[in-house]
Amino acid sequence: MYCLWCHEEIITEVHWGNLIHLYRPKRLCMNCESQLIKIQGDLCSICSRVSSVKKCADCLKWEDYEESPIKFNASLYTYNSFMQEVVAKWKYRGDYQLAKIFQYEFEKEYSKKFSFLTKKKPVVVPIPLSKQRMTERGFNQAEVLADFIPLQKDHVLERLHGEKQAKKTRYERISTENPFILRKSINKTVILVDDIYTTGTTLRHAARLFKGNGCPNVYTYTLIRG
Amino acid sequence: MKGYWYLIPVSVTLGFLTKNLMHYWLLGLFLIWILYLYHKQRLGIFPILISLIASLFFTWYIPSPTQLENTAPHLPDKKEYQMTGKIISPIDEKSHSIQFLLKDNSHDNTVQVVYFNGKHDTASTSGRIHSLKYGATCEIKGIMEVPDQPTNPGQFNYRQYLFGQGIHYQIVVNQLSGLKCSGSGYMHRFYKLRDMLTTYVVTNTSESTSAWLSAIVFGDDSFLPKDTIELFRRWSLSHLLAISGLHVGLVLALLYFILIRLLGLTKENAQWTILLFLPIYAVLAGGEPSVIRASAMGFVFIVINKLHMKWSVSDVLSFIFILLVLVDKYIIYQVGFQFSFLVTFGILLSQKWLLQDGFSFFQMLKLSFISQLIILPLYFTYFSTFQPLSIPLNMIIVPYFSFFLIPSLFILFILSPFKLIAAILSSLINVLQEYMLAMITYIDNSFSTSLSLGPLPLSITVIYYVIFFLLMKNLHYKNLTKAFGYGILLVVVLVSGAIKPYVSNVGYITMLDIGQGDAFVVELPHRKGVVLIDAGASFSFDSGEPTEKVYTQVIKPYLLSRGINKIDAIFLSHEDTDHNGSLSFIIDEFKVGAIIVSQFYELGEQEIDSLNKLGVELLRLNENTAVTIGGESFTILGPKKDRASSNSNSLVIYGRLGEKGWLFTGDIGVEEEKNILQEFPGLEVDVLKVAHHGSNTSTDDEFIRKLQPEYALISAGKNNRYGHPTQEVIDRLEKYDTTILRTDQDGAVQFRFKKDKEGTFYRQFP
Repeated sequence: MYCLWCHEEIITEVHWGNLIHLYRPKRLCMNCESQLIKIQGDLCSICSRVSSVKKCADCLKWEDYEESPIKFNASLYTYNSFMQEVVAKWKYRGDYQLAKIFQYEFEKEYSKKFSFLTKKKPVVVPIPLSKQRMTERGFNQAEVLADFIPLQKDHVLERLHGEKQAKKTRYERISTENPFILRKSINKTVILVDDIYTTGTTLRHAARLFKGNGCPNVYTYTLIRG
Repeated sequence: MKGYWYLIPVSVTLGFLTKNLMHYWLLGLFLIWILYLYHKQRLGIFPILISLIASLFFTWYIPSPTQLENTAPHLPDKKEYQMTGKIISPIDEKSHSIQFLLKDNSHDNTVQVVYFNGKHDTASTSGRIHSLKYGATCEIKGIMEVPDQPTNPGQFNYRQYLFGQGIHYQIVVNQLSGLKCSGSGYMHRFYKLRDMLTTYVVTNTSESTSAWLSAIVFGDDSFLPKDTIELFRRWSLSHLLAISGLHVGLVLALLYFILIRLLGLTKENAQWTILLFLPIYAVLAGGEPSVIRASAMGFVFIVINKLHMKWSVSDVLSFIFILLVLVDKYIIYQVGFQFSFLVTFGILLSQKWLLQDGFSFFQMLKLSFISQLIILPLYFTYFSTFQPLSIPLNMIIVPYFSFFLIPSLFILFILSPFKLIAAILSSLINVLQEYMLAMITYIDNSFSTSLSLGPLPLSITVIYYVIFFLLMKNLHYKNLTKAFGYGILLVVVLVSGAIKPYVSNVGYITMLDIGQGDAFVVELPHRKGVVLIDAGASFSFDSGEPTEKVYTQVIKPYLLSRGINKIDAIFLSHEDTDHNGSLSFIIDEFKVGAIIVSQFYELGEQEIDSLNKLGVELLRLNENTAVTIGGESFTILGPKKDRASSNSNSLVIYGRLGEKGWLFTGDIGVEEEKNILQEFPGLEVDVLKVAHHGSNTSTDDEFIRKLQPEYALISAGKNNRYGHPTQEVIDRLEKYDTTILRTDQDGAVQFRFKKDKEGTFYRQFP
């Protein structure tokens, strides 16, 4: 097996931990894996940003406008420079296979954070790309991530074409109009899945739509917290 | 498959165990495991297929003990036989015998050839012995026999041991004319070189240094005193005497240092030199599995490095395992092979835990801990006892060997042409060795707390390994609290094994087969008491002195296999070697409460002294007195008066055990038998130990008629020269429908009974 990022050969050494219950085949070598940093420590109870207080300044600012449509957001990794490189290659340069790097951890973190919802039979909704962006990229990274979660998926959102979020300033993002259309209302708990939570605008836009159409609770789950 | 090659040795091991223990669920367990891994997407289809095929292939490939027996070609047994073949082993020359392996040309099977040199051998005949060389073609004439089976429980299985090396027959050559050899093979040079080097070492260094030198540099421990070897075995230090991975690693490091620093070779050339040196060293060091394993691993790692390949250590270890098994399908039967691979694998798995706190004494302790615990069940199987304190002892002795003794012995060997330096170094080594041995001996005498469990049952072994695995897994993940819990559990399992005989309500009375002589072991239910009735020995024809053979091969292994290290009392019927010869060896190594003899038993001052010194009570009992041991009463029925012959003065013992009356008669004659009938009318005897090995001087018709014993026990040597037991006695016993149980035909005979219940007799050979 070779490392998906640096293409070094991965040599698994057997030890007492993986002797009987073998580990899944590794996608990254030890060195690359060590550069993926998980979000740890005290987090904001809403957006999962590292924060010493219960609600971070960002979320408090949001609350000036409205009650948060998101119950809470969970994220897996920090957006360090290594992750930025990986995302760039994956998303913008179309290295579809790189998603496998995150598969097991993304699924594991999901069951850790959201297993309490299992009884409510939540619906997973990936944040869509606009038609134009989809033809450009060939795949929707949010959908790829959502597929890692063993739950029913519902593609009820549609996105109007607009400027890339990444190219906008914070003010522009927050003040944009809602780019989503909800094609069907869902009256069950919804988990929105996306690759990255930066300011939270995109996810909040989508969540607001669901909440406004009879959905009791909306959670969001992203790979990265920017 | 990279990183997963260890699955193959695991499957080989399980296949081996499955066939050996006839528990097919072990193989089933492996298949379920593999399929589970596939289901959970832990393994690709390729490793799955390889593992499945390997497990089936090796289960078929590795011979089982019964298979070994059945496939043995039928050759005339115990008959003069002539065969031609090639010598396929180094020549093992001892003071009294010469041994080697011969591959038969016509049958293509291996035969062990033994030649006992008599004293009549002169220089003129030694030419024939010199023609014995590896690879020589020989014409052999001798008596063909199937190797001996153990005739006692707990005894070493020599037949299986030889079968395990693919040897089905032994040919004993009595006359030198039966050995006609010529030519030699390619490998002969290396064995010759090894012989020359050991001889050189022995003649050029002082006796004690040379013994260590040949053991540690050439893997030949035959010059070390037996006591030292036994002491090292007792304290699980034997791995230091055998050449192991540790030695090979040190030798390589030393050689590498010399080549680069002292001879100024480039790294490249130094590596090539080592590649060349490793296989030669493996042969020079005796070619034991541990040497081969370690040298092969060193070899493969250098090659891999040279080719810029990456392989995990476990893969390399697995390749070597598979290769060795493919080359020699019997090798997995060898204790050295099992220990070497298991310990290496255990250390490999524990790497993270071992490297946690850098190099330190704590690390040495961990290393010692893993190495001992991973082979513990095997250790009990082969040696019955284990010293828990050997773990800390290893922690001290292993560094001493690694950093001082082994390097300095190699340096001594290299410097041996320079007499003065060699002499100084040699005396330094001697002094330190003496201190070290004195220390181990002191510990052996003062802190010996051996855990004698005997071979563990399979269920306990499985439980042990499951707990050991969980313990190590938690240590790996640094869950120290959980690990501690499993550690305690492991101790509980071992201790529960140790107290099992105390809980069990089964008692045993065993008539051991010691050849021509008596030795009975009585184990009361709940281990209330352990009593020996006689402890005979064979004696050497030269000096008439008792030999250790019966003790070390029969009595001791039996006692240890039953987890006995304390004996409450030993009854000695009379002072003949075939009844008391093993006593001195027993009281040396076991805690003995008392010796019980008759008032006429003659004891030398020296013997009384040694009994006093070891704190063994001496009890002289009169006729019609009784002694109670563990709640069971043993009554003395004789001798009443001194009859001036040791046989006639035999102590006669009566006891009731397992709802049966037992009469032990020593070597009494017809007169004494009559006396017993007279003195004790109405004596209920169900089991009679037939007096004097079934000689016609005892076992009178009237005696049997009056007693009407249900069973008669006869301990007599196979084909003994006295003709015991005599046909007369057999006929007489059969006349009264007595079931005869005899060691010469049945092997050891064991009576198993539950407390206050009837018991059953079992023969070693049913």
